[in-house]
Amino acid sequence: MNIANEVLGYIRSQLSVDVPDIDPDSNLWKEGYLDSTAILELVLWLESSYNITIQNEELIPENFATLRNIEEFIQRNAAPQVGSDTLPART
Amino acid sequence: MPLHDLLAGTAERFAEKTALIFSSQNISFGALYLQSRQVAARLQKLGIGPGARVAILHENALAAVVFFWGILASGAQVVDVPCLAGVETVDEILAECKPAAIVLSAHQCQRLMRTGAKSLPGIVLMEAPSPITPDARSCHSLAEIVASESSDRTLPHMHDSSVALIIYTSGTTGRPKGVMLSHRNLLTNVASANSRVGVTSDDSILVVVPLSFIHGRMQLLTHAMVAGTMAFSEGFHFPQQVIQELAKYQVTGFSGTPYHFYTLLERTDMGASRLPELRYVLVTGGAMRPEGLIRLSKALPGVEIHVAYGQTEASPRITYLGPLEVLSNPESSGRPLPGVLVQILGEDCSELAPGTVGEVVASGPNIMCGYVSGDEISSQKIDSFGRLHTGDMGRIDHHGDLYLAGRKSELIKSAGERVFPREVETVLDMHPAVLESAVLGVPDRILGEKIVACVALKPGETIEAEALRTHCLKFLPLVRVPREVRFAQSLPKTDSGKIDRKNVAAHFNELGLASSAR
Repeated sequence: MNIANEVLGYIRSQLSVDVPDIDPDSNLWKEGYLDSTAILELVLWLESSYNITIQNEELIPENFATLRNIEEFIQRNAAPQVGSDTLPART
Repeated sequence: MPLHDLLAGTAERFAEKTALIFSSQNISFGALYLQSRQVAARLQKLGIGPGARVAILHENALAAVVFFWGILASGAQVVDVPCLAGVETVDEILAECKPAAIVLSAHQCQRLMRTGAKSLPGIVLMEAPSPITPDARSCHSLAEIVASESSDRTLPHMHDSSVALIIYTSGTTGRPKGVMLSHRNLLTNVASANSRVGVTSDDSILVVVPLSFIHGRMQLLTHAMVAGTMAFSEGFHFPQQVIQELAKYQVTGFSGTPYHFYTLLERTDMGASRLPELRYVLVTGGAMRPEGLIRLSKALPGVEIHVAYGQTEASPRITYLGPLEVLSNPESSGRPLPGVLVQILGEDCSELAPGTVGEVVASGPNIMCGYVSGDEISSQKIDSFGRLHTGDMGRIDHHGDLYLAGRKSELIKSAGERVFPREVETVLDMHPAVLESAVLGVPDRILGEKIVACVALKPGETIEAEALRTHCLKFLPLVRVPREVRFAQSLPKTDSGKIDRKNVAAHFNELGLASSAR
């Protein structure tokens, strides 16, 4: 199961059950799926689930606005075994 | 003076000055005023005016502000519906306040259509024409109104004792309460509060809070009064971006709840950022820990820190603490605003001596007209002397400074949101595996308080904490969902068999040793 699916599963279970089957490039925040308290929870979950530390300066839209952004961030920062099954490239 | 006259006066003196800045559009005070008159003209043609209500369910946006002023100009009452409210809650609110029209964003319209909201009024107002509005309804776009309506129609002059704004906020039973605030309530409080903070036409502010909260409306009214510019943040989702926005817009002021400031302190480089224009910050919507205020003053050297205490039912400001006192006496909530009387009352409603803890009770022209539900007196929120019983405990010292000391009610303040346990317990108790539940607030470094739930399951039932959270999310926005769930065989009871809330906290801490918490 790729990282984006895992993140979407967590979001739908623990942050907002209203999130539909969204495109990996949909903006989670601008399209109103998640509010600002959600990012605190998402960050904590990502850190514990993928054994990473997210620095303050990394908490930016480029890394967290979309599922694709999140997946790519995790792959760059997590241990080497994470993320072998990734999203298709953006066309 | 009715509220719309604030904007009229400012538009006359500062017609070309920028009133509002959004990422993709700005508007001057003059244009804002004219467009609001055009909206009022349309509402008049639709038969909406004095005595009618128009709801606003819209994220912060330029169109939403134009509609706000237009509704007031028409003489109708604005009803602010929280954007994070679930569809069932929105339906409850609309069924109670019965608005003649509703202002909807495209996102909110889509959400309500998808989930089947039942109580939408027949007239919908939106920024632009939309293909998704319910087809039985009459939809009016701001774009079309501005292109076609006159700004010269004679508009009603409202008496300042009439209701201007209804804000829906949490109630003790969990059902939302519509707080009715008059033109006088709001104007006196805006003027009184600003006599202390001192915002002028040289000031500007970055807005991160929703305008549907009284905190947001105060910022809007204050800056309309003084001709200050409001720049709207893209959102508090990425705190570091908020720091960049403070620098980009070169604002002189920022106002937020303790949650906003704790987040900026913990998750941004605010202390290392250059914000030479920032003159003041205002902390309100909850009590910030003294050590937090001290940390804030060190992160923002030279920036005035102002603190205000109040609640929606008081329009909202009751007391104020100025920059010097914030540093010398950070435990205090300050002194009553001009025109506001604060008393500390005992259980028999007798006034207590200085230094004695009792309930904080406020009087003055800022005290609400009442609740839409009409139960402000029967629920003892307002007493027979017209005093507001805040539900907060506190004492006043010999100098007249207020010190808060907990709450009479079980109210939880989490991330600036007012949450009554009953609302969350009702949702938890709906789950088939749950026998009973008790919800409390536990101190949290960033949220102020986090919501935690103690749950007893029915015999033979098992469930994980995460599954209960998922259940809660179907009925509550995330900010009201328990962060932590602990399970117990049973919950402590009083002699009459009710859950003993005072003992739940102690019980909760014992349960921490064998917790299923996150």
